[in-house]
Amino acid sequence: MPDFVFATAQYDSGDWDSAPLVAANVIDGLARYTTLDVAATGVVVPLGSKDLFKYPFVWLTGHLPVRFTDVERRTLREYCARGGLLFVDDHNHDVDGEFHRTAWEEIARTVGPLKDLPNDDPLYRAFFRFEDGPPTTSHELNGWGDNLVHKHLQCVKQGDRVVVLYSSKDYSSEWNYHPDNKRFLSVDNTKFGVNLVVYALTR
Amino acid sequence: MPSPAERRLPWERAARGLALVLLALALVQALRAAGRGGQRRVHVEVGAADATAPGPARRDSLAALARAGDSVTWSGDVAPLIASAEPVREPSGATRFTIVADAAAALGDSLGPIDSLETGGGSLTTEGVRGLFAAHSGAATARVPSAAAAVLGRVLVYGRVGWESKFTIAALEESGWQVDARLRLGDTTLVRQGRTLEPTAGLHAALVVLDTALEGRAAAVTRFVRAGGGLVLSGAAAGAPALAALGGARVLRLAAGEAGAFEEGEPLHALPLHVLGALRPDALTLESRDDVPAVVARRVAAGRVVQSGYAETWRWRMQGEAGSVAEHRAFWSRLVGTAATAAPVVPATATDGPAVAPAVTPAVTPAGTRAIAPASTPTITSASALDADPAPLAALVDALGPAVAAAPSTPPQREALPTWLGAAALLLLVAEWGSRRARGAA
Repeated sequence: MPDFVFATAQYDSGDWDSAPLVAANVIDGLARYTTLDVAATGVVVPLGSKDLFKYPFVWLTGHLPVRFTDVERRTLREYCARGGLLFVDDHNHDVDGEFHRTAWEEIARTVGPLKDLPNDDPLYRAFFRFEDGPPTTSHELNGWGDNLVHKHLQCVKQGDRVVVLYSSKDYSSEWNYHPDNKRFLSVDNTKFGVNLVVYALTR
Repeated sequence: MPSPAERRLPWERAARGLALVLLALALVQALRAAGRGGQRRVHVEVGAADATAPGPARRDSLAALARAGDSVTWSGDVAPLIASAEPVREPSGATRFTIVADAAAALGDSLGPIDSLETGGGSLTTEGVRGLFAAHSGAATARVPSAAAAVLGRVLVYGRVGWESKFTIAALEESGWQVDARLRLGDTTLVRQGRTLEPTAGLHAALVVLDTALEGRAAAVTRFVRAGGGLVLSGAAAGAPALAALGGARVLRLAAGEAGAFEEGEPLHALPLHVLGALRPDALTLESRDDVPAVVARRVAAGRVVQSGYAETWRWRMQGEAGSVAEHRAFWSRLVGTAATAAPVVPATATDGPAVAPAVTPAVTPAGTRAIAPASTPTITSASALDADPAPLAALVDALGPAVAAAPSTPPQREALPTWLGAAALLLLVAEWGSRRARGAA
């Protein structure tokens, strides 16, 4: 069994599969920079399924409004209590968007309200160093979405452990390309994905 | 020619002398009687006049009488009972009580009963019980003071970045251990936690190895263990070639976990197991799964080595049924506690304070050991280690000898000073005095 399997959360509402190439890109980054034993392909895991507990790190994204079912809510609450980490990325990169508003409501209802994660959190030096906090995406810099550069990620903590990380940065768009095309980039923009996974594996 | 008065003179002297002899005899007899009269016979009949076997104070007073020459015996049915208390080498500060009894035993403290054990006895781990702990079996009551908490060092974890290392460290930290860690992430990349990442006797109570690659650290690990450190080799590391000289067993094969075992409440059966075998003569199997050794321990010089064949234990925490987080936590804390070094324990001392009942929550740990965890802060009761009485029957036999079948009969008392002896002496003295007065002598 590999040390790490990239899991994408499938939920009943919305478009959970809006960024299908993110998994391949993060896996590529992990294989490129670490000696982690990483599964070559990601998996899709229903949020309300017991299988969720096989994957202590889960990626969730989408554009459309998010409404968890009771089972999804209950399962996610238990998942976080046991030590799982859910990463939620707003594929709209828009603080007034439907995904953003509804996802915040659902997260608050399920595990607690989101708060800013300080930019000196260990997440930003878990593997690569990001001195200024979460790396900006081209969508933010181009003024798309809400025309803002989001300075922080948000999180929900239980004790001193982060159980939900939330991003309005739209890494789903930023990393949703075939890994072979990284050779056209001067700087690998998926490095922060390595930090996310290493953080989940060590915190 | 002597007058009649003068002729009575020898008789008077004879009467006086005889009276003095009689008085001397009476004195000797009185002294002898006084000597005999100090030896008393004391008998303790447990179950009749005494409902319970004499406690330490009474037993000591009886032993003192016996040493002073009195005859002290006892009879009755006092069940063999032994109780001991030792600190659990975990940060919980719990005490493990072990009871050995020929009959059913009830356990309690000054506030009342805690639990009961069947014939033969057993062990009980409690948190929050302070002061004297009593085990009752028939007429015997064994009392032991709760042990002072063990003084434990830090735990160092060697492994590679992954769910196993993450959740092992989490389980240990949540149990109260202070954890240093050195986790491999790349060829030259390490994730570090804590300052001292070399196993250090006196600082680290135990080293947990989760990875087979030790990168030349085997010699340091061996030195640490021989100096008294604890070593836990878990999962694949149980068969780490570099540490094969320390382990008590070899890894024979990898057995897959059983599908559905989590749902059936058998979490340890759900985990992959590196089956241990070829045990050394001095190795001890602590736990088996399907009759094959799963956890093996061995002493190496001053240290202890525990090999646990269970792999991917993090799945227990994440995929197990309700309560699995606490079970996984207890599993790891107990595993490390089994190997860990503890500083010498200071004996419990008398402490005065308010007695508050510790709320106990019975639980069954995976290995079947009953554990009682407090739902509130540990409390203090008034107690003294001097009141300890761990083996009442043995102490009674030691102090007074074995039990007698029945109370010995009391011999008839002899008169200290016979009446006739005194009367005769008095009569002779009066006659001598009268004779002297009759002849006008003083």
